[in-house]
Amino acid sequence: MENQQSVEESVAKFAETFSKIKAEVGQFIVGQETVVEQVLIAIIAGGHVLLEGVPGLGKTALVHTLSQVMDLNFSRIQFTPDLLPADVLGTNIMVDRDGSKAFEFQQGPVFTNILLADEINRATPKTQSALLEVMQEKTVTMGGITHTLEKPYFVLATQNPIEMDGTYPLPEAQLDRFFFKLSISLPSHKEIGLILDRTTGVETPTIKKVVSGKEILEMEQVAKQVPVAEDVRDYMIRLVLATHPENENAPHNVARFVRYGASPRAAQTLMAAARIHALLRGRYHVAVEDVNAVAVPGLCHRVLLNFEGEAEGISTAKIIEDLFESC
Amino acid sequence: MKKIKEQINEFSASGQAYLNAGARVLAGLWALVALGGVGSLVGLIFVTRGHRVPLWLILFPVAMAVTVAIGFYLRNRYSRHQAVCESDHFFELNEGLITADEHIRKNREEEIHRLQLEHTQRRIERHDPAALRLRFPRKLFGVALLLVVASVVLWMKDDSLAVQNAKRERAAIRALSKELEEELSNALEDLQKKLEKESAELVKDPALKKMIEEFPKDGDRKTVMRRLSEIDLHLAEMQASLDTRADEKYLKELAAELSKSRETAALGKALSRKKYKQASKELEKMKLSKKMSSAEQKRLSKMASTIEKMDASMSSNKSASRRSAREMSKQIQKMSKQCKKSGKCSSQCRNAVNKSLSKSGQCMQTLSQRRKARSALSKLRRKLQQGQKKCSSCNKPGGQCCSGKKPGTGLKAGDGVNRSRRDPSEKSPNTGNPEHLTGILNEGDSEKEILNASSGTGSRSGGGSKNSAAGYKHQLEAFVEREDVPEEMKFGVKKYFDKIHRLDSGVEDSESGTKKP
Repeated sequence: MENQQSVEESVAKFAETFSKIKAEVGQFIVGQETVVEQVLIAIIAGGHVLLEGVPGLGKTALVHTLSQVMDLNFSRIQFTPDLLPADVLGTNIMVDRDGSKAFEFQQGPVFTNILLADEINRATPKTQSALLEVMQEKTVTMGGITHTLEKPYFVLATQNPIEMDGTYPLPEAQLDRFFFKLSISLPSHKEIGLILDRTTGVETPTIKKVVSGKEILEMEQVAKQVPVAEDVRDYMIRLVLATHPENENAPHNVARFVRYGASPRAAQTLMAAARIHALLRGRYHVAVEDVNAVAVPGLCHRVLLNFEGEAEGISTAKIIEDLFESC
Repeated sequence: MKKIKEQINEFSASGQAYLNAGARVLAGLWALVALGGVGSLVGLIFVTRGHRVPLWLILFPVAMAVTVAIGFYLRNRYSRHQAVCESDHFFELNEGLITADEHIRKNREEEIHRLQLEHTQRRIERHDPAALRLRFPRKLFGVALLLVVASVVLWMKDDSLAVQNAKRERAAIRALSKELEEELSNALEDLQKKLEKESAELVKDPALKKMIEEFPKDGDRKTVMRRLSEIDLHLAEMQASLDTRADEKYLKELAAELSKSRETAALGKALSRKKYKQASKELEKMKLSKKMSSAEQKRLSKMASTIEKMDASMSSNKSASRRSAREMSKQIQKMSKQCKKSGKCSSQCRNAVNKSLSKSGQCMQTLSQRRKARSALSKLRRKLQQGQKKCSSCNKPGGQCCSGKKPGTGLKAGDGVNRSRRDPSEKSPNTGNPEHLTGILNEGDSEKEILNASSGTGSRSGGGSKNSAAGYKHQLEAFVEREDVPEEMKFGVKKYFDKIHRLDSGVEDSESGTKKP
């Protein structure tokens, strides 16, 4: 009974904490409820998020607010074309210690809990790839020494879709490391009004810390316990496999417009995210609707269009949504 | 926890039971559709052809229905997992029941699993598995019922009147053919027994016997009629091979001449009465003895001269009787010459004459046997023709075959009468083609004789006379112009032909509508 209550309590606490975080973020961030929820899901699942949107939509503000809500260290890197990997990861510098010269590793801005990688697509591929190990392994290896980053660790990257000059599109390998890719849309008239009220007045909302890193890790553990039925798991697998054009179950538009489909990492993403989504809906099991709810943000950056698809302006989100019926 | 699992299991099991019950109902309905559909199709095929559907054919629609029922149920029945998925979807449990069922099957006992089971149990408490019961498909049932009723109606339909008549006819024909076979076999046997040995040999024919033995028994009137015609043709061919008309004609003429003379009167009488055996005996009597008396010789000479006298007028007769008579006559004349020359006849000559007499006698005996054989075959043919008549009358309404119905008894109650107004010569798929029995040209007994006209210069009727007149006119003109003919003769001939010409012109003008003086 105690165990059951603790699990039940854990689940209840999970939902409560989530709601608190969301509500607190909502104090400052206007609208974007789905985006906020999905960012939180990614964070709880231990994943990284790529936020895409035109300038001025509050991408950086969202990440900054999240960092304020969570009692976690926060760093921001503004990526520029001249940014070097050492500027991101850190470097060894010579220091004077007790009269002798020694190399000492100076930690870069990645050594934090929440890293905001602003306009990540402005950095060179070399600098972008410096984040690969950080995002996947959550370690930094410098001079043969591996430095483990403190958990929880999240990279929230932003990129601007319209600035094509002087940008370096993220390679597929790096894109695949992002848990979710979320698009931030233009707020409505009313929402812009609220934004103006909250940000241009004398008083601005005060954001309280409502969750600690430890609690985030606990929430992750709770989510991992949610059972997934074989049918739902099979559905998930079929969904991922159907994004591959050579698959026999792939529908016509996938076969025609997709160059490469999602990897097994995408299935892991769907599993983790669907579990959290199920808990948020008050269920102790994962349903197909949970998988569908997280499929678009989890798969759209992993499904690569071919030339014809790009020329036709096909939306990967639409391709993924069409798969729900066929799978 | 056990109770919760039981409740979930019970819910799943109930759902499965209801779903499978629905599948069985649907299987039954589709089986009915198959039964009705196939039954109606089979019924239509038979009814459109006027036949009653044989009852044993019900096996096919029933077999089809059973196959459809089993196949449909096997294909659409719900396994436990399928029933759980269907129930989950129906009651919108968001895979809760599926997950709970999996936990139960795999005996998962973690806290989270128990929470999930409780959660699912709370949700299913609001639902009744009976809601999964199949909503009765009225349209499908209506269609099935309609098809079944239609098939029952079609299957209960009796044979059409035409088919019934055709069946009766077939039965009658079958009986008739059996009767005919017996009759013909008996008739053939009697024929063989009653005829003398030599005559019986002439009509002995294994092919004929085989044809009668292999008489058709299938009840098809056309086949029976065809076989009867074949037998009749065969008999006619046999008769033709035993043709004695030429011999009889010759001997009749000879008889008339022979009867005029006292010496040959007996022979002539026998021949005139067509008692050829008797005539043969008379010829035997006419044989020369060793003495070869003048009376004997005179008698023979008389006969020979009669034969000789007749020979010229009967030159077209190619019969064996004529040939043997001529040969006999030659031998007799040869003997007479020898006797005149040498004063006596040699035994060689005598033997030759006697031999020729025997030969002619034998010829007459053979003729007698052939006549008897022909007569017997005629009787057989008459019997056959009676059978043909009987067979033909089977086709007519109220016709009597060999069923033993007496004329005027009519059909029994309920049979009805076929008052078809259709022309009997019109073809019908139910009644078949009426058989027109056609005779075989030149095979019947005929009293007429076709004579070849002698060659001549006769003109044909119609416009031939005009051509002849023109020819005569040219002849006249040629005659008139001749210098060696006296003038008075020319004048007379010319005047004669002018008169004729005037008459002809008058006839022609009257035909054309004008008249010349």
